[in-house]
Amino acid sequence: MSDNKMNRKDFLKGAAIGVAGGTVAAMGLYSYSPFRKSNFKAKTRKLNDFGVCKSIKVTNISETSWFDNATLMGDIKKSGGLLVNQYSYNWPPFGNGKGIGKGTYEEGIAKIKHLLPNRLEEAWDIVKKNCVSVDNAGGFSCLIEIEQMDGKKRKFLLDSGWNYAWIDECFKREGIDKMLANNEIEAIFVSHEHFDHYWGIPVTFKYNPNITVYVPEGFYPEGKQYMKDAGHKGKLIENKNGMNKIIPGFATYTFNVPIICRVFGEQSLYFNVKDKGMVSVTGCCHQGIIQFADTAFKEMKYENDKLHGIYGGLHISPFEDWDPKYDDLVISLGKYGFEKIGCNHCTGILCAKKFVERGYPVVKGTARFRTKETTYLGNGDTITFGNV
Amino acid sequence: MGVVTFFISTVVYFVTMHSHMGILYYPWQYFTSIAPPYWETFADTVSGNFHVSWIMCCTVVVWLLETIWERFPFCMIKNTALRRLSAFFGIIAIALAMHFFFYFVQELTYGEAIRGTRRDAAPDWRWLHVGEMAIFLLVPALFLKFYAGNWPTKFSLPVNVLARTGITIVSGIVLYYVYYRFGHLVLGTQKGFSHPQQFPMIPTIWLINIWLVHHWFMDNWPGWKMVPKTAEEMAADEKAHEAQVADIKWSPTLGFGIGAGAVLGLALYFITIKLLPVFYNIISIIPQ
Repeated sequence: MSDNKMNRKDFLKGAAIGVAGGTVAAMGLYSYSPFRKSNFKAKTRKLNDFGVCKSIKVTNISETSWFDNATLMGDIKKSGGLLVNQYSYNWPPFGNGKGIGKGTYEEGIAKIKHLLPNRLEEAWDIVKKNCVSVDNAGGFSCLIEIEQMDGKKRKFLLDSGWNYAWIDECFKREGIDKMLANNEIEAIFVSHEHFDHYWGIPVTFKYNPNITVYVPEGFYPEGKQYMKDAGHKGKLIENKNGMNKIIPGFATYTFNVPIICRVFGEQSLYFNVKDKGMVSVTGCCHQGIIQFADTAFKEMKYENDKLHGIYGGLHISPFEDWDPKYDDLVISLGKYGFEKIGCNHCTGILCAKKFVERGYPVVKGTARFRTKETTYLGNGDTITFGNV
Repeated sequence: MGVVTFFISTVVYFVTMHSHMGILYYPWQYFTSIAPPYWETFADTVSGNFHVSWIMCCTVVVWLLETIWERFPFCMIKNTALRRLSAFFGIIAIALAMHFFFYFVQELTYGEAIRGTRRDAAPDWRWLHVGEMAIFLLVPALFLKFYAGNWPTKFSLPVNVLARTGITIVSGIVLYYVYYRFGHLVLGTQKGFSHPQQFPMIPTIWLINIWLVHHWFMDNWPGWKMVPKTAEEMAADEKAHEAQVADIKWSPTLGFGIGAGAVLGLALYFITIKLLPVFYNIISIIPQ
């Protein structure tokens, strides 16, 4: 009996040692081995067909959202940081004269609402008196011309910038004002609610208040109200999260992503270009370029199963800071095999330089109209995808 | 000793973090720090978080060894030099096992990491989260030691150690749930796992620091009465521990137990990784 007890005790001691040793050994040897991958689900592809277009041409109306990083970041810090509601910054056009971080949408719009959208110069004079860092505001906007398979060309705007005076100047420079007035531009897509992409919307309405506007799901009440206060009289379409087909070869995808300055949701544009592949046009791409590419892979069907090109802000280093994980992005982007990269805006100049260094096909710009360097596509530059 | 520690720390820094820091200062430091770093392909990231995480796991294992494991199994080695060397490399080996396992756990939860993304899909965040997960184990382990008399103590040393480890794992999982479910309400941070404001190491290490002060400098007062142990009592404790260690002697039964236990350990591991995705689908820590 005593021997049995001793044996049982020894067995238990051994078993305890064995359990610990066996588990730790398995943890160490299996958990990061290639064999573990058998536990992962295979990626399923939906392959949604949204048609095909012949080519697209993008004209960069303005990629300079602001002109000085230090001023912008200084304002954000003084207002309480990147998570603060953007309408409280007292940035143009929503100024109440109370200083940085003390603004509200209601007080700001009340000063200029009666002048929107036609008397923008007068409105901007009032804005200058009540807002902070007015001259630092720029904006992001681009014109997209799609050539359909039957040769017909259709035009759309992506975003309407920030600074009324700057965007109006840029619109005139590229002839957008006339295109809007002549109803040549069918609709404007607002990528997201951020100040530098959306707050210049009255400039678009000045030339065509009846234009159809597509916004992503997730706008805050102030943003929805601004659409009305800015003088919009046309159709407003809220693109729900996920894929939204627009015309053959053109779809948008709304990502339900939280964004700094209390913004939610961003839509990016996808084009399926004949014989080339998928082309992506983005505002800021807050969801991340890899997720952007991954979504195309999982959700959509496109020519040659090839990711052909990108245009727009890739939101890697918008404030020209750097972090090792940005290098992860730079290194891994090569795997996706893009053949034409027209990056700018919040991509960051340093990032574009690193793309070039790795041999990626970055299309250079001309550094005109206040774009700082030729490293990437600047204001007034164009890029085409497909056989024009 | 301080000079040696400083020297070794500097070497460790150069091996584990210099390339991470150098990558920030483009272009010149990028080259002087030998970036991208040597671990890039293996870790799927250039980030030094890969090293931060296994070093955090080492820290946790050191504390587990010192508290609920009572220096087992290394205390069984009689030769001092061999015991120290084995403990040093053994801690690293156990920490690496923990390191890889916690990364795998995230792959089973979120899917494979996608390099170049941000937040919970990014390998660099996942490695950092490995360290954060490890810290959740440290809190219950120290509680057992400081406030529960290292319970249980009535079995043999290996069984006690295994039981305490089991208690620590279960408690760590509960603490993880409570932190991510309710922590943001108390700490004023954004809810979520990978939000930049979420860094559970801060409140957990803060709590541990308070416990250390309470245990070491306040003798657990006022919950416990401050009665220092006599020299005889301390010697008796030491002797009892030595007797527990001496009690683990090689025998065919012990060997058979080790073999059976190892098979059980392997089974436990593979059952766990099969069940984890099922649990993840059932339990939603942060309700949408």
